[in-house]
Amino acid sequence: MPSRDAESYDGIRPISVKRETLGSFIAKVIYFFRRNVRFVLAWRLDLVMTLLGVGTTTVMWGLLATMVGGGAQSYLNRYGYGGNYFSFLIIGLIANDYLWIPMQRLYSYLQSHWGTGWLDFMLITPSNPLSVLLGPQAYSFVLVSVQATIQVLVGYFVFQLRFDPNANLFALVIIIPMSMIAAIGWGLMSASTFTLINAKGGSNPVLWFLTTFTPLLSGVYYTPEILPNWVEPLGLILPHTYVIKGLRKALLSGASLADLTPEITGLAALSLIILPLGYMIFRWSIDKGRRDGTIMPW
Amino acid sequence: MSRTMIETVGLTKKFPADRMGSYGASWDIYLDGIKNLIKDAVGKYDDIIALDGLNLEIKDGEFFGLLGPNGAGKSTLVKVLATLLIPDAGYATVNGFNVTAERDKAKASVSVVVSQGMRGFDQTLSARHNLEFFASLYNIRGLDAKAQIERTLKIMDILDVADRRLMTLSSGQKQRIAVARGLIVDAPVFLLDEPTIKLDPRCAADTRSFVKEILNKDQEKTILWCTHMLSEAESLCDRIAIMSNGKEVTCGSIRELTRLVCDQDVIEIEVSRATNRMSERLDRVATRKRQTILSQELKRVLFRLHVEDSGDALPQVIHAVEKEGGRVMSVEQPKPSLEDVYLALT
Repeated sequence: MPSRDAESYDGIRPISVKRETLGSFIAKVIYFFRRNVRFVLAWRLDLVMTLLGVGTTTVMWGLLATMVGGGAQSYLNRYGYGGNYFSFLIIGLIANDYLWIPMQRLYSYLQSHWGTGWLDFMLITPSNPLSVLLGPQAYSFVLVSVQATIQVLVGYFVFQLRFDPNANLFALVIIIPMSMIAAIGWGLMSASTFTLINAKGGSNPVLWFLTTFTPLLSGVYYTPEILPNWVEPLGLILPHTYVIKGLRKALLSGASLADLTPEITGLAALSLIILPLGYMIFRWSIDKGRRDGTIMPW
Repeated sequence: MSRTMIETVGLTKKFPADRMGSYGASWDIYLDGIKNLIKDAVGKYDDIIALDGLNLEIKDGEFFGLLGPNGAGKSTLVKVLATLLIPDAGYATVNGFNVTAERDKAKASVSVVVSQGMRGFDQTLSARHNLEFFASLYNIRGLDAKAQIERTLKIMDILDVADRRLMTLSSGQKQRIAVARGLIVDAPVFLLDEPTIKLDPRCAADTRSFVKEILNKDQEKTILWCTHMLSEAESLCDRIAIMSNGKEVTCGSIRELTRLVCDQDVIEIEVSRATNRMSERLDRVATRKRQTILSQELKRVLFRLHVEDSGDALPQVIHAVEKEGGRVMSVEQPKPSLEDVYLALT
């Protein structure tokens, strides 16, 4: 089996193989972002309609919180969350939106771009499959951030969205990146099903598990403490559980980093397990796709 | 002696029969997927043999044609050479790099253009923006990327349309842009899998001429051109391999290939008032026969007959036609074409 360097074997025509570095990865993310922006600018009205939809949905949540907030308040006080139900709910919803970017969109990106030949042409470039899958999500983060801003503004000016005056904003800088690491791990596992078990139809067992159990177990809409004792530990495998609780405590009660130790250590432990596991399974899925031909549609 | 740019030795690729799965979301589909997963884990993909011990050698600067019917394994070979598939046995090298063990270097040595030339492109963006994006995927950025793209657009003669959205360009222009993608990295090998199949005749001719004159002759790229259009292969290729069922049936220049069937003569006879019985009689004279109906009304048919010796066979052929009430309109004895080789060997 021949194996030699371009420089040492004169039978090879010179080629320029530029290895992927952090710089070229960042450049790639910027290109993906610019590509998405150009695409959105070509369909501006779609963006306007999406953002309008976010505003009206926030109003809907606000009205719902107004109606049920009184009853929920006693639970919030009992479990030490502070603030009001609308603030509690909005933090859960925004955190949920961020976490779903890697958890759901890595798979859906594969699913929607597979037929266009995007994946096969990414794989014949020297780019790491992981970077071509994560790169396009940069735009989603910006979009979700714009949506979150709208939710906060509508919540603040129209409803009773209020954070603690001593809200611990530094905790966000710790919790959000850590939560992304764990979410990427889950997202890679979900994306892996695309070739591992040929789940090309828009859903897969991992995604099914996440969409079915995340709202139930992680406390997006209610405090997870009201779950039966034997159910509550199941939520520990989901990053939502730690992130949403941690963000609520930091923003609504002004909890210090020391107060947030259970959430931060839990998230760190989860990330340490889920990310390497997700990455290994993802590499396996790409290799399997290369072995059995499921990676490209032609 | 010129360098070997593509080499396959005993290259074998097997697939599970239902590798694409069903394009739906159902637990039954997932169960099938899990069965394939187990097959993958134990290395048992033996349902479809797409490449069966293929041996090929393509030299630097060659315009090499790969001919074969659908399912012959042409596209599978392209995918292996492009590092999209891992072979089950044997090995393949591109530009001296093993496609499995030296994947990155092999990748940088090839450019792939498929029949759906715009695969991977974003139609709403301009050619320039698409090429910038692909340059970034090859880790080429900044001024290097800009200079390379400018050079590529110039070579491809598409500078004037570089800033238009792809969706507004003609098929021929799009195909050039698909080829331009490979020139960004200056890949020495181009793999073209039926690149003209969806193009109108003018665009197809433009693409053929471009690949032959600019890419192959001017830029000295090695070309592997997969097709099942014989005329295309005949007019373009220095050498041709004919594949069938994942194996190379034969390989050589057009002259070498036609020599393979030269031991047989060809008679082309045009008759009127042709009948089924006449056709059956001609079957007995010829080793192989193809007939083209020229006029249904006049029962005019052109028979192309492969015979052992045309001197012996021609009187028998004319006799068979006249015996069945037909009238000989013309008789020719053409030299064997690539089509004859193809029909004889596949």
